[in-house]
Amino acid sequence: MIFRLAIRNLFRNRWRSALTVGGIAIAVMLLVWTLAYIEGFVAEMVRGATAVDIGQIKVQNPEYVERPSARHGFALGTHLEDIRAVPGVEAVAPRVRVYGLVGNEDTSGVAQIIGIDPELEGQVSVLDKGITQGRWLGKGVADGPREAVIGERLATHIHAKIGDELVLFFEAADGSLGNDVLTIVGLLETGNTAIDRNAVYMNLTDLQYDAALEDNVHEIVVKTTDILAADQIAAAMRPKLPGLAVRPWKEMVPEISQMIDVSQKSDLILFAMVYLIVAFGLFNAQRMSALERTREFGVILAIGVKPLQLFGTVLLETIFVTLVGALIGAGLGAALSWYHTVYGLDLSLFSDRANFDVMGISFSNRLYFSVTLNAVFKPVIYIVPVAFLCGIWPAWKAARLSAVEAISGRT
Amino acid sequence: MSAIIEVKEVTRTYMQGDIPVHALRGVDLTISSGEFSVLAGPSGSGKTTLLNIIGCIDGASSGQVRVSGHDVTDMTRTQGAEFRLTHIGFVFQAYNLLPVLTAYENAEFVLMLQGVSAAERKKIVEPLLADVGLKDMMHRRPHQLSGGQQQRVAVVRAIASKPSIVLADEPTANLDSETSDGLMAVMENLNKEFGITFLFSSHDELVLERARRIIRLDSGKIVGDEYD
Repeated sequence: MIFRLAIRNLFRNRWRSALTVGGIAIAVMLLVWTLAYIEGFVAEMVRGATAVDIGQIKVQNPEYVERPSARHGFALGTHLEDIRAVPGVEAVAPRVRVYGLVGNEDTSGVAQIIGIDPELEGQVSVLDKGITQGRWLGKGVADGPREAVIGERLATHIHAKIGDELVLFFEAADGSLGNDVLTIVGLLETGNTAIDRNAVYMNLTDLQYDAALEDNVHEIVVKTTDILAADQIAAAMRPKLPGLAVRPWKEMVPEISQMIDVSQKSDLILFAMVYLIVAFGLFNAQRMSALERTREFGVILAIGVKPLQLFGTVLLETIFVTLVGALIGAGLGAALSWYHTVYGLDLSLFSDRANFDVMGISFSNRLYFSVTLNAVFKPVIYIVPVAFLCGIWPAWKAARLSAVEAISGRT
Repeated sequence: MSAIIEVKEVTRTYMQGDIPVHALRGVDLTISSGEFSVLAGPSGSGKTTLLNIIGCIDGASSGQVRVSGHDVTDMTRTQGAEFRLTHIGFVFQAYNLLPVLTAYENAEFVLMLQGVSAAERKKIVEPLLADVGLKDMMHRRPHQLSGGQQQRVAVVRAIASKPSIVLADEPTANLDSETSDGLMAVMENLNKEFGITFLFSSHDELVLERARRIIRLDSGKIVGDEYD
């Protein structure tokens, strides 16, 4: 009956209840939408950071981590098989990486030259999906033509095109000057600024030969089945790779990890601001509702309802109206966010640039949201204490009423 | 008949701004079980204050009050609520039904608070509403009932749990004579049928005519006590 009383009281002043529920629903809807936007942005950023070059986990010589130099490689041995055996590992690929000059007879530029196994690389990164002209690297053939795929912006910088020759100079592992002449077979645009401006990809075995590395590599890139479990998977790999540095993506790009932390903490500021406004409206509505029923509360207390029961009834009204509004808002917010998950949000409404870079990661003008349980239910969960706080005062006032004064209208 | 209400040297003083108002000035009163009595007197005589103190919704400044053998003088708010729920039924001047509940739900409200099952409540409330002529109106909300019908629902609410005492504060104040007479007849019948003690506060002649005992108050003191 107490519950029935609380619910029916909400229908007494339908306009007020509808406006209160509507206000809460709109606030929660906007928060769900905003969280889905932020999560989509962060997911895009993590994907952009890890899917192209960095990878989710990287295995390197600790000295290479300190000072990237051609000579700080390590023998591949059976490491690929050992890593594949670790639970949670989806794919692995070795890389060789040196820094030098690339160019042609007209011009040159600084570049990172990366030797990869085209087949394995396709399992750990999306480099091959970034080809804008030409094709991806073929499997290296002994004494065959040596191929290169280069970043599109680098190509623009050095005025190179498909079919052109590309001359490389770099310091080899033995201190000598390594060099080679490759044929450009593809241009690449990944969205990762560093790659698009500076990267030259060639076959692993070709570069190992050019850089006097023999069987050595500079890194093994690991793709996991769950990017959020990369820390734990890296920890499980370490005993199998003594003397090598095993670094999950959060360690390699701490700025992105920090940005995720900051964005999660800034959620709280957003919640605080939005819910402060909601709280004023909710508190006022519930206070007015309680004040209008003072005489009724007096009667209820007089006929034997305990003060605590009356407190519970009034508080329940506030929580109920809040939860109804929050659940409607969460539903609407999820639906709207789902739309932007499927069709994306056209950011060109806010910018006239075709794309934009954040921390070296390029975003297109269409951002795809990520609707997660966190984005949908966090605003609902966080509004419950707000409802409690807003409901406590009217409930407390009702419970503290003197039945005599309330009935006689002397309060 | 045993004493169901015992009021000994009760005073009640409250402040109106800085001025103390002596609503009761040493009242002694004993009401026996099964009485049908009225506290009569002009406005400000203290009859409603005395009724509220007996009903444990107001406290005495001094003196002692015993109801159904319990000392109710110093009960806490929660103890008072529990006591009222099981021992006292209230009928107020201005109907005071809960507007969001139907007549039936208002009538069963006290029983529900006592934890009586829905089936048992139905067995008790439906015949009582029929007895007071509201059989066909029990699912109406208060605003769909006349003043007299609302007050009859309030009477059923007050007696449904078979309390030892029903306290009625000016129950006929907002009713016309015919409706008032009908309501008093209903309460008189219930008093006779169930032996419930009724204590009214009123200056309505109609109530005074039906009461079997009239306790007259003036300026916070009992100035007369007449038995029919």
